[in-house]
Amino acid sequence: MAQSANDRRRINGPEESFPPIFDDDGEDIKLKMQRSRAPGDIRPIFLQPGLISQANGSAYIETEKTKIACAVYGPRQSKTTTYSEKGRLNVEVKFAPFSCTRRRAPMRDAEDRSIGVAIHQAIVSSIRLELFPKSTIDVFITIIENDGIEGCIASGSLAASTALADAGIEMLGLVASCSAAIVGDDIQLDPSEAEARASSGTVILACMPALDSITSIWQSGQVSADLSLKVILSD
Amino acid sequence: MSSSSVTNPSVADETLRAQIFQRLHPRVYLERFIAEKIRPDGRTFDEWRNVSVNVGSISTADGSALVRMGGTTIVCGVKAEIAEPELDRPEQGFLVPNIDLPAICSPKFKPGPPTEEAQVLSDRLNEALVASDALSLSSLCIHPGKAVWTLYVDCTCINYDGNAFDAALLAMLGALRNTTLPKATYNEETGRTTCSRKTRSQVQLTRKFASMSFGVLDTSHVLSDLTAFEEPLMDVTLTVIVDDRGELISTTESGGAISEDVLLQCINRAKERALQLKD
Amino acid sequence: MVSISKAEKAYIQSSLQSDPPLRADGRGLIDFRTIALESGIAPIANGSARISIGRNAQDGGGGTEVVAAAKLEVESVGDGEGVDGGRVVCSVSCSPTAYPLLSPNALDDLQHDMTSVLNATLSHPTIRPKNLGILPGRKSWLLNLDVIVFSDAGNIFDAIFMAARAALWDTKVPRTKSVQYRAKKSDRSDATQAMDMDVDEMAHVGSALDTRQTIQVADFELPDYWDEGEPLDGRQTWPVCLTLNLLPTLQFLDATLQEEASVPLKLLVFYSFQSDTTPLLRGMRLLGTGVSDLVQVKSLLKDGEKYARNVWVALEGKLKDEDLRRNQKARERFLNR
Repeated sequence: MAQSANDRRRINGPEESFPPIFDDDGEDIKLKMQRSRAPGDIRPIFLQPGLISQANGSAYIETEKTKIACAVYGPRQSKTTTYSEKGRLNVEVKFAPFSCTRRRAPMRDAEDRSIGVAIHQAIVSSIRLELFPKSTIDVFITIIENDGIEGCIASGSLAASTALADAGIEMLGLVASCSAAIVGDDIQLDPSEAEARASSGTVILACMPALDSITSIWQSGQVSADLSLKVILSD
Repeated sequence: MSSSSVTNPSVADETLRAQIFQRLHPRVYLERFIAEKIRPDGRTFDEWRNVSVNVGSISTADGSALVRMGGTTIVCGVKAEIAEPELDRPEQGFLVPNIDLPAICSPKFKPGPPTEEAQVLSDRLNEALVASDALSLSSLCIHPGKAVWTLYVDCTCINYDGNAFDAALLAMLGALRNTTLPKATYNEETGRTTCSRKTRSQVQLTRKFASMSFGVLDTSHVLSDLTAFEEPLMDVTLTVIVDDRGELISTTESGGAISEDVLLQCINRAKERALQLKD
Repeated sequence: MVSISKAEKAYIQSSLQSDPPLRADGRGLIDFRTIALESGIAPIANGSARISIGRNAQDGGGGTEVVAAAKLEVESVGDGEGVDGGRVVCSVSCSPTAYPLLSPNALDDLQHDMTSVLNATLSHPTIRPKNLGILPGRKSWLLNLDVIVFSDAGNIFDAIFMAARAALWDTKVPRTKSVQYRAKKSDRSDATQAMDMDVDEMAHVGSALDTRQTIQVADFELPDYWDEGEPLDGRQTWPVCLTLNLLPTLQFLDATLQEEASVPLKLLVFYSFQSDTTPLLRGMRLLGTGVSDLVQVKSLLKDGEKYARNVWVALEGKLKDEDLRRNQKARERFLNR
């Protein structure tokens, strides 16, 4: 990005630099590919609310390599002057520069936004926004380590919902979310980055188990309709 | 919180009143504590908060550290990339420290480009790493004039409860000490640098050191390790960097003027603390 | 994108739910507005199409209007983002006049969102066309698919995907011919292809290669031919999008802006119907503040598939017509040259 090269608000390195190229790239990928879990098993989840003392509510989630911190600020006054009868939910996702295999320049990019939108979709219908006119609930999410976008969206939604509960915001139910990848005829739950890349399609489902309702479905890749339903069922 | 009123049945009410008082008159609130020789979180003036450092937990980084200093939580990750060195310094690599204070860590910060505070912190951290000569840049050389390592040392603050500088420096040094670089070879024929997956070597730091920050209130009260509440109320803030042998590396001061006594007091406290931290 | 009053919202909702359902323009629940499609509208692009939904027949105004264009670019594999075998990158930009009420920032976000939906579906590795490679492991085509929204009168996602499908259908990939150089032979002019390229330059390219590598194809050239190349592979794979607008008891298609503003939830499904295989669901997204449940999703998928097939068949017919028309034109042009 041309802009980041002379961004005077940060300490800048050399004009361009490249991630190291390894002499035996192929081997490594194969090693990572092996899945030690059964297809229907998810990675162990560590979830703890209330880690960030400055926030109204917060949660930290870790599923093996994926590490995400989430904080809720609000409900607080909306900055915009326009009146709104319902509260606004604002979800912002940020990747730490060291969270991915390649260093991420500290610029907001499209991926941050699309993950934010996905998490927004997953949790927005669980919150009773009609109780907070003229206010905004800010949900900030920092991805400390990323092992698969699908996993990030799923665990991010879970963390966000937990943090909202921790902040004492009225909700219809907690949101649980899980991702799945279709590899051949198998459905693998909670795929890691390498597993998702090897799959022909992925589904991320978010639901409120308490109400038995689905808040979000994101499916991409090639799946026949029947299979897709099966995936949703197994989620 | 402040007045423990056993006789009053509604303790919660009192706490709420104390909280409102704290928000409306933070300075007076703090001064009343200071008069009692204690700080709002129950520490004495020269008491430090608990520090924990956890290194190497992030697999996507070449080196990482998580530092908790009381409530303040900072994660630091080192990413190594390969770049061409500058023409006038063909054998020197790059060290690029930055800190991000994202909106997640405190209600003070808004999403968007780095705040002034973050910019100042990044600059000070850069200076501290350069001034102390912690890492010899020539050790980052792969092939003179062609390829050197660039270490991006990025800190992200997860929870901001004051004294981010000390925590960030600790995190950066912890992450750097934890950093391993793959063995890299520059191929003159192709002009490409390739790395081995098997052999990695540790980054060598020349010395161990730490920074200690203080705040001065009313020219005479010196508080160590400020919290987010105390920080903006101080007249003067002072940072002392000393190494593990007790040698002074640098001091920085901002705000009003301070007397020599206060400075010496800070330096002595810093040295004491450095010895404590040595383990 | 319009904001409507509560009363208006209630009015639209209740008339949709009445029996028989009423819509402001008199359509049935699963009727589309008139769709007009024209392909090959941008002569410089490798493929392009313009689509409009619900354009006023008298004055040609109103309606949702979207233009999509594909442009091919050569990129090298290995350094940077290049992928062996080529890749597709989509972007959606919205003209500010399409959304006059949005602030520039909100418009940016909207573009991002639309781009991410399009990208997630069309750039997925499972749907990548097979003829985007040029030199294995070295060079490949980067297909940039740019979609511009000129005006939005509702049902924007269906329009975007139809335009994208038409533009990709229309895309021609230039023919390439590999140029080889055999480094190990002493005779430097012994290139396999006869060509009018500078031999010295080629020798240079050859020697820069790592000698251990067995790949000897050094470069490629574009042969001159009367047409613009062969059609992009996978004409049958690009999906159509179908937006199911959901009210608690019913779903309807092709919503206008006012109708969109009065439904809490919509489901986007992306289907492709390759001949004699089961229909493939290439993506699905739930958008909005409402909730759904498993039973509903199941029935929606079934209905969605039926409706999407209608759209697919209609679009395919039109695209084939366009093909004929365009080829005819191209031949005539060639003859008159």
